[in-house]
Amino acid sequence: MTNIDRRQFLKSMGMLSGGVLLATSPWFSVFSEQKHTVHSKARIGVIGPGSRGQLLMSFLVQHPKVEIVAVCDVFQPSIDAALKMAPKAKIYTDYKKLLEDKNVDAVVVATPLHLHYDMVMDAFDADKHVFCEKSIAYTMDETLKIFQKHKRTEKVFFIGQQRLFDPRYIHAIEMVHSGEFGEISGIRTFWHRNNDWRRPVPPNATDKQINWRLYGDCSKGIMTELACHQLQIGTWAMRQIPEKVMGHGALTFWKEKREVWDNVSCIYVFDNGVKMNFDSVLSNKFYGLEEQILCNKGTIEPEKSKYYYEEIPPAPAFLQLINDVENAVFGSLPFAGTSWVPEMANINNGHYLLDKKPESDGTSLMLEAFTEAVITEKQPAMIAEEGYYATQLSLLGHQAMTEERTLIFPDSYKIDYLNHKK
Amino acid sequence: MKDITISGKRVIRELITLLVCFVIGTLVNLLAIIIYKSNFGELFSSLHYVLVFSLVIYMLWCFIRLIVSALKYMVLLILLY
Repeated sequence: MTNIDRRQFLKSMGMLSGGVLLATSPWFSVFSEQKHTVHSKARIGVIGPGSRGQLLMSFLVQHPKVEIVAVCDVFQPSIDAALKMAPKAKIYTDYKKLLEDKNVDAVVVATPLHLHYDMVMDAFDADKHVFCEKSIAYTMDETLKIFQKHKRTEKVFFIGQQRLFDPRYIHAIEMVHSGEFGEISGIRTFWHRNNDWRRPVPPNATDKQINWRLYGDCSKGIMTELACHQLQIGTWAMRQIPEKVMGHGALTFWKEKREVWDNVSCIYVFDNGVKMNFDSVLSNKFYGLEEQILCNKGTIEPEKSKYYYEEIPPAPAFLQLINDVENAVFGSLPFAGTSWVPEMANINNGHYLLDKKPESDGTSLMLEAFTEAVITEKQPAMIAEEGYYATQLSLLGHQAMTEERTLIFPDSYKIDYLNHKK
Repeated sequence: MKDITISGKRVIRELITLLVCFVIGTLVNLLAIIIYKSNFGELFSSLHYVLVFSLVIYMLWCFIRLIVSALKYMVLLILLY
């Protein structure tokens, strides 16, 4: 995305002014020095160019300020795919060797969840900036240690929470924070699918290498792979971290060769009693996914890019008169059919958040922001904290479901952010 | 087949009839705004509904005239034969 495209992007989001944007999404300050970095490059190494890693690479290779200088994987097909996009990249099969490479300024970690901790910690130790795909780590303890190391080393740290850069979400949260819809009464998030998450395994790979998300020692399943995105929207909208969580998880449909649940439901409770729900079933996709922010004056559905006011204006008086006259004349007659008067005048169709559908879900802009941050060596505000709590909340929710009890957010994992104090 | 001539007078009369239907529609709109305590801006924003309503009552008036003419013609035929 060039400077011109970025201006168009901001314009298309209908941003009233940069000040409004920075109040809601202060991480956009990372673009403030872009004109000084025009001739600079970030040299990036990609660790784990699997399906997600290759998607990230597809954006990175288009960026004029990025040079992919190294890739690392133990799975040859992933390396082959990565080399097609970055033919000059040096190949590593041991990530530690990649981290020793002085030509690498930053790393993108896109490996399975259970591998994140060692790789990210070693990357910080090796003086590299880090982009880590969500969730940050497999346990709350590991997540905290990574965050603390990021703070100590002062290296740039991004987490793959692309909704922070998605124009629909930015605009939605701006409207929420402006008070347009009043106070938040509840947040309902859900992510339903109808597939078993299983990917075909090539002959030279193991099932665990490809389908690691289905193994309990590699992933926490739905919570760490899906919920973390949506929980982050809730805390961003509320500007608060919830204090407790309860929930239930089970295997109800996809029961074969699977260790993680396919049916989960969590309730996170904020200090003021407002609740944020997360539901996910993997055997019905009718409702798909959404984050419904319910306020006393309106409702926002950022995924659909729509918002609705609670009070909708009544139908025009002319139509109301015709409707009433017709009902009075024909209402009691047994053969009277559907009125021609458009009763749908009272259906709330809502309004669109943006004039047109955004071209990206925020991933490309997020990677641009990471690139700028690496070049300027400046960590944008709130990015790491938002990612930190997204991971911790999803892990806490998983723990609550495992133990089948209400858990209070532990003080030992609190950092100085929003309503939390270390 | 006999040629039908529509005189200028006839056209003007029909246009006036249509205008009267539009005025009736506008008055109905005004009445609705008063009864339902709505915004007077609807005199303009509901114009499309008023136009449709005007056309409907015009068509209704044409239909009534057609029936009356047909009945007159039938009575004449009966009287003659």
